[in-house]
Order: sequence, then structure tokens, then C-alpha cells
Amino acid sequence: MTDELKNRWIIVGLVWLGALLLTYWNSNKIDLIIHDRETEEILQQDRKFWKHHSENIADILKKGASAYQNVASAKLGLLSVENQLRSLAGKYGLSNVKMESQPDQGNEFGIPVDLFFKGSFEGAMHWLSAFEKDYPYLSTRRLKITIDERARQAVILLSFYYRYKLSFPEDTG
Amino acid sequence: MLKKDAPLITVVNNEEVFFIGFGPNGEWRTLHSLPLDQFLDGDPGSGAIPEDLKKRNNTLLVVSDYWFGDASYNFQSKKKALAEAFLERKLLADHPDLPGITNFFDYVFDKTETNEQTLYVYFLQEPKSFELYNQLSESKLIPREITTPAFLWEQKLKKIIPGFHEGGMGLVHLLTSECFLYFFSHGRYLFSRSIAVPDYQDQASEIFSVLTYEINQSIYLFSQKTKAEIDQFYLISSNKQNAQELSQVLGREVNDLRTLDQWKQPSSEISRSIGPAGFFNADDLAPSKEFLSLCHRQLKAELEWKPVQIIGITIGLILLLLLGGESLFLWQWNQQSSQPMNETTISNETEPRQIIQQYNESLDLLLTDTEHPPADEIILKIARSLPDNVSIKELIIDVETDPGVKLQGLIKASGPDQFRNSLSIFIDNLNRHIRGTRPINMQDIDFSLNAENVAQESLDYLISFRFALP
Repeated sequence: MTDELKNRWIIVGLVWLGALLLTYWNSNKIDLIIHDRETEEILQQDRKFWKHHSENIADILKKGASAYQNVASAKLGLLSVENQLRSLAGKYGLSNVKMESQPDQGNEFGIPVDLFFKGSFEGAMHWLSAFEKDYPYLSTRRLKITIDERARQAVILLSFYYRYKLSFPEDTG
Repeated sequence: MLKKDAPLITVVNNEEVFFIGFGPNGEWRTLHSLPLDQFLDGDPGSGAIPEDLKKRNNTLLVVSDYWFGDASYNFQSKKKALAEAFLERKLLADHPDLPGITNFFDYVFDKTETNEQTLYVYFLQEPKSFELYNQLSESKLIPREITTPAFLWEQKLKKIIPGFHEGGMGLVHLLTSECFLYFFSHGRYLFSRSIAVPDYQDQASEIFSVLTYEINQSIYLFSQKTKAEIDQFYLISSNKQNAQELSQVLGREVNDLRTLDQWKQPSSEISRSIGPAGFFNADDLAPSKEFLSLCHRQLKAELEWKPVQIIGITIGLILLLLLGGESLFLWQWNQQSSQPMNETTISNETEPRQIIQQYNESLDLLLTDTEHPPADEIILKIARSLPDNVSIKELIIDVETDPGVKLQGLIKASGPDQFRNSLSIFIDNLNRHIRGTRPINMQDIDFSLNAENVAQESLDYLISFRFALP
């Protein structure tokens, strides 16, 4: 093969290699631009949504935040919850309050807790109403009410999740 | 890639190598010449060939007719690869002393009078020709094509003589000190002869009588080879009277070729030096002309690849240009679109995104929490649905998995009718207050009579059922 022919093949190879590299580079660039455009589009939609629904968003965020209790540790949080629920039970004349929790069995929904108490049906209903209303970070799983007509009292077994978020002491308020 | 300058023609005649160019009016110009042996024995770098000459493009090498050999072989296939392999084998077998012959042959597919397919092959058979080619290669003067005056005549006569393809034809080319006899059969060159003659200007008749013998010998050879007679005879020389004189001497009609076309007589110096090739003009020798010629097999392959390479480079460059433009455009476009996205903007942009994400998470959680009515609300609705004679003994509200309510109660009734009525009211009330996935009906209720109180005035019916929450 003469040098001329060899050189021409080298030029052909280089030119087409350049073309292939440019095709690859352009293709990547186009993908990048499309990705940037899509991100920008999503950001704009987010901005618009935020602008038009800022009040609603703030309200939902507030409610969402209240669905978790900010605590320094799960055990401390559970102790506080038990204390509050005992106090609430006392307020409605309920007795035999027992709370059992399994912090090590916590999952994405929270820590499973079982609560047992006795008392009048009316008191139990008031307690339950307050529980549902004032403790958004306690999510009911199961409720069992057994009514003893002779003793005129209800026996309550409530299973719920305790939802919490670990935070620094200054954030817990 | 760099194109060489003006074309150059190399002619070998009488053991001398001539490097020829054409003047502005198409006249031959000898650029350089040297004895063949000196050229073959010399060192290509010794300066025997001027550097200016090496810049030229050696388009054609014209060698004496006898440097070429030819043959015809019966060959049925029309496939080039098969034909070439066959010819290489055949030529090597016929010329074992010329190993380079496989690089210096060419062929055409032909047919005999009986319509049999043949291969007409022509090749270099003179050992000096290979040496000459190598020497020219080393002097950077590789000839693109190699031919002979006979092949040039064949092409020229095809153009100017009507019926050249039919029958036999003889041509006498009379030069100053040489005479060439060319014989063609059915438009194909058959053989030629070169006869040295004294200067015929003063003694033409004497020369013709000498030529008559040679011509008659050649006519005999022609009839031996072709089993046919020569139909036409032509003469080309500087004197118009020569054709008539030769006719008389031969006793057959000899036509003057000059009457068929316009000819430009080469100078006697050119005619003496480069011989019969000097009779052809630049147009006759142009590479585009279809005269038989051969090219080194490797060079031929390279020349065949050249247009592919040139097209490949051209298309590649166009593509490269377009893609380069696209790259530039994309780069600028990307620069423009990404310019406002500085760090502050990115931080400003990510904030709403995070908030929206938190919003979505909160919304999901709240929706899950409010998916079912709260337990206290369910209990109140059940309590509201109870008729006076119905009481609850146990109530289980399951929210987490398979949401539903399991209820055990007691109905105090005087008999089955009242029990049925009370139960019916209870079910209706429940269906009205709690809209589950499916309304409760009588069949869902499991009941039994409390045997302990059978003797009493009213009977106690224990009921138990489960219904699903929405």
C-alpha cells in the first residue's frame, strides 16, 4: 500500500471518528438540555403552584408537621405520651391505665403502642374524643371496647402508632 | 492527497527513455531523456532525473509493442475474481521466469467467431519492463498506465475507420528511419512488426520494394493466425504519393489514412526519437481514452479505492461541519439557558421544590389519617343507631388492616317478632349512619338465644356481626 493510500485511509478514519465523537457529544448535550428543560419546567410548575396555593400549602405543612412529635429520643417521647394519656384518663375518671410499647419494633408508621384502661362508657368516649383531636401524632390502629353492664363500666384496649421525629433539643421547643 | 503538477508521458524507444510533455499548442516536448540502461542501472537519487520532473504526474508509459505479450483463453465464467485467479495461475505457468507478471496484466472478456467466451489477456513480457517500472517507482514517477503504440492505434482506428470491427486490417506506419506494420482482426490488435529502413525521402520506390517482402510475409502470418484474408490496407506516411506507390508494388489497394482524419505531422526530431508514439496527440493519450493499457495490480486496486476514499472524506467532512455547527449551537444554547441558574437562583429554586415535596408527604399522611372516620365518631354513630332494647357487649374497630367493625350485642325481645323488628331497625340505622363498602343485611348477622334467661319475661338474643369501613 502506498503512503498516499495509507494517508487517505488515516484521514478517512480520523474524519469519521471525529464525526462519531461529535454525534456522541451532541447526543449527550441534547439529553442534558432536555433534562435541564424538564427540571426547569418542574421548578416553574412548583413555583406557580406554591404561588397560587401558598396558604393551603402552609396549612397542610402545619398539619403535616403536627402529625409527628419532635423529640430528642423515642423513649423520652413515649414517656411523655404515657404521662399525658394517664393525666387525660384521670381527668375523665378512668382507671387501671397501662401502656405498653415496643420501640424496637418501630416502622415507617411509628412505634406500636397498646393502651389499656377501665372506666365509664361516657368517660371513655370523652377520653377517646380528646385522644383523636389533641394528639395528631398518635394514629389509631385498633380499638376494643368491652362493656360490663353489671359493673357499669367499659374496658378499653387501644392500639396506636406513636409518630415522632428526632430533633435537636433547641428544636423540640 | 497533494495533486502533482502537469502530466508527463514516458516513452521508451530504441533503448532510450524519454520524458515527454505537451506544449501549449499540443506539440510534443522532450523534457528529459537518457539511455535505458543508464536509467536502469543508475541510482534514483543520483540526480539523473531532474527534481522538476518528479513533480509531474506520470500518466502514461509507452513501450515498444514487443514488450507486451497477449493470449486468449476459453473461459466460461464472467466473474472477475475467478478470471483474475485463473489468469494469474496461467501466466505464472506459461512464464515461470517472470514472477512479476502477476502484477502486470489486464484482460477483457471476448468472444470467438463461434460465439465462445474467451479471455483476451495482455501482459508485460519484457524483463526490462519490470526493472523500468521499479526504477520509475523509486524515482517517484510511477506510471498510471502502461501501453504500446499498437494499442493506441487500435483505439484510434476504431474511431476513424468504418467497419474496423469486421474482417482483417493492415496498417503501414512509415517513419523517417523505421517502418511499423500493424495487423488487426475483427477490431482486435493481432501483431506488429518493426522494420528498420534507410531514409526514404530520396529513394521511396526502393524502400517499398524492400517492404513488400516483409508485408507479404506478415500477410501470410496473418492468414495463418486468423484463417482469413486482410480486407483493408492503410498507409500513413509524410508523403501523399506513397499510398499509390505501395498499391502498385503490393498489387492491392492501399488507402491513405490521412484522408480519413486530420493529422498533425510530428517533427522529424520527435519522429526519430520517440518513434511511432510521436504520431499521437495529447487527446489520444489522455487517461480517459479507452485504449488497452495495464496498470500495476496494486496501483489499480488503490486507484479503485481512491474515489471511495475521496467520497468518504468529503461526506465525512460535510458531516463533521454540520455536527460541528450543531455542537456550537447546542453549546451556545446551553450556555444561554443555564446562565440565569447561578447559585442564588438554584437555592431559590430548590426551596419551593423541597416545600412542595414536604407538602406532598404531609398530604399523603393526612389523607391516610382521614381515610377512615375517627374511632370516637364510629362509636357515636353506632350508639345513635341502637334501638332501646339493644345494647353493646363488645366492639372492635380495626383501622390498620382490613378496616372494619366487629360488634357483639344483646337484644331484649318478647319473642322472635320483636327481635326481628329490633334487629331490622338496628341494621337500617347502621346502614344510614355508617356507609360502608357494602350495606349490612340480615344474613350478615349471627345470633343466638341466651339460654340463661329463657324462663324470664323477655328473651335475650346475642347478636354478632362484622361490617367493613369505607
